[in-house]
Amino acid sequence: MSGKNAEKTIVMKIKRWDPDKGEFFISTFEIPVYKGMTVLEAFTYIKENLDHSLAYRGSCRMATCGTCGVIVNGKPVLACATQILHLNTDTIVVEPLKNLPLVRDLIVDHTVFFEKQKKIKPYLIRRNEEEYWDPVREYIQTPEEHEEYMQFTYCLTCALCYSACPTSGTNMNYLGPQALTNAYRFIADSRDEGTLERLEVVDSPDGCWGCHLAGSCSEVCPKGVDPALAIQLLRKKLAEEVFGYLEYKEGAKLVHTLQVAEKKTTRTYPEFTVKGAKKDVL
Amino acid sequence: MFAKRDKKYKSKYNMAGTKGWLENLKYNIERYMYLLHRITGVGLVLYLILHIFVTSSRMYGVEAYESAHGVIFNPIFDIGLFLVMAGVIFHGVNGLRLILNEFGLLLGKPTKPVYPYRKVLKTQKPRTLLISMIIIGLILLLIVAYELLLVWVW
Ligand code: HEM
Ligand code: SF4
Ligand code: SF4
Ligand code: FES
Repeated sequence: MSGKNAEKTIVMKIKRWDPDKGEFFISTFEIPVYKGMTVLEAFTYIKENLDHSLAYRGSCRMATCGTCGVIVNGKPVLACATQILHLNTDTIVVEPLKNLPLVRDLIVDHTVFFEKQKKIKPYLIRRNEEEYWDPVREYIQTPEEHEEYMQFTYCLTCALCYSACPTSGTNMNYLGPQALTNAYRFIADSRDEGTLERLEVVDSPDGCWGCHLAGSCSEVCPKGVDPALAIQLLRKKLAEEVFGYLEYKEGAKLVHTLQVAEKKTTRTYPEFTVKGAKKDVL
Repeated sequence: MFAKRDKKYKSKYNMAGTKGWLENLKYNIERYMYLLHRITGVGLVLYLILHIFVTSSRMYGVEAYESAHGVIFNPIFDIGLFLVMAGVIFHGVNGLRLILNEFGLLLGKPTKPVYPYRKVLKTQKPRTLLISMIIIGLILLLIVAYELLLVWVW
């Protein structure tokens, strides 16, 4: 902080949760802001200089870990990826994220949020258990196949979407934009064979039928995951299943099995560069 | 969870609740549409009840029906009827948009997440759909207004 010139002083009002009394209270701080200072750095400034009791969470300070989500002037954002001068106001109101249990001050408990992600089975499901647990090669996937779901893998599990979604705000059991997006991420993955299992989980008013396309999740997502798109595509899959159009998707083969099919397709695969690698293939 | 560890610790779900429907409005038009669709949906149900109440007066004879209609034959009720029609038109037209988009139609495909990030609802296809629906809605609304005015001009 020292050595940097303050551009101006702003007022930061923080809505804090007091776990002893079970109520909110508001603290007001004056903060000298330098160019490039983020909201997370302002919290650190407060903790170091003004109020040691302020509780907040942050780790990577570069929009990667997804732990520092707060609501700034009404919008759920990552504190570390929000520059104070970019907000263009002299008063900043900070609140904890919504729709999650409060722990203390700005800290919320993500446990329920992670539990919902677990419900949609966020891992590759394969019919062939033996091959799954004892893989000899990676599964083959083309760049085009990767692009079908790549966007949805950028999720940080920051719960900003969960805080902004109007359905999450009224239905505690709603899986939420993040978990539903994750369900589609795996269904769209050419290596996965668990489509039906996942559709069963999301086929409910607490699942993808709870979404009303308000689009707020996509607006606040810091990683361009676009949950609103994923959820509608998920619904399309579900509708296909209901009307009997869903094609059974056979998961991508291991690299070596495709080697045999290679002659039939125009695809080319790199030659093995490790000596003896072909031995354990067949 | 934490409450089990320490009984003195007070936590609660920080639910946005129905008030949350009024939050995050300004970032995208679909969120306003979401709110209006709910309001008009509930409004239409209320109107339906009223409507059934008025028309059911026919059960008590022609006179009761006529007198019930006498009360309604009034410019104030026509303004009300105009609002109901505006609600019906919005709900119907926006409902069509929702049916299409919510089944993943006219949305397009996922892209590479390259900055500045794309939000699919703000891309060409869904935006064209939304704007066409607004135009269709406005045309229908003008027709309704014209029809209602005719009654009083005659
Ligand atoms: C013109 C024909 C109509 C169409 C195309 C239509 C379409 C829709 C659609 C697609 C939804 C779901 C919206 C969402 O996913 O958020 C919906 C919700 C709803 N509709 Fe309609 N609707 C029509 C007429 C009506 C009528 C006549 C009534 C009342 C009697 C009505 C009452 C409702 C209600 C109460 C909801 C729930 C609102 C919500 O959950 O946000 N609708 N409608
Ligand atoms: S698009 Fe669906 S999931 Fe996203 S905020 Fe709206 S209702 Fe919630
Ligand atoms: S989808 Fe976006 S907003 Fe939601 S948890 Fe993932 S990164 Fe955060
Ligand atoms: S501190 Fe890691 S995302 Fe903000």
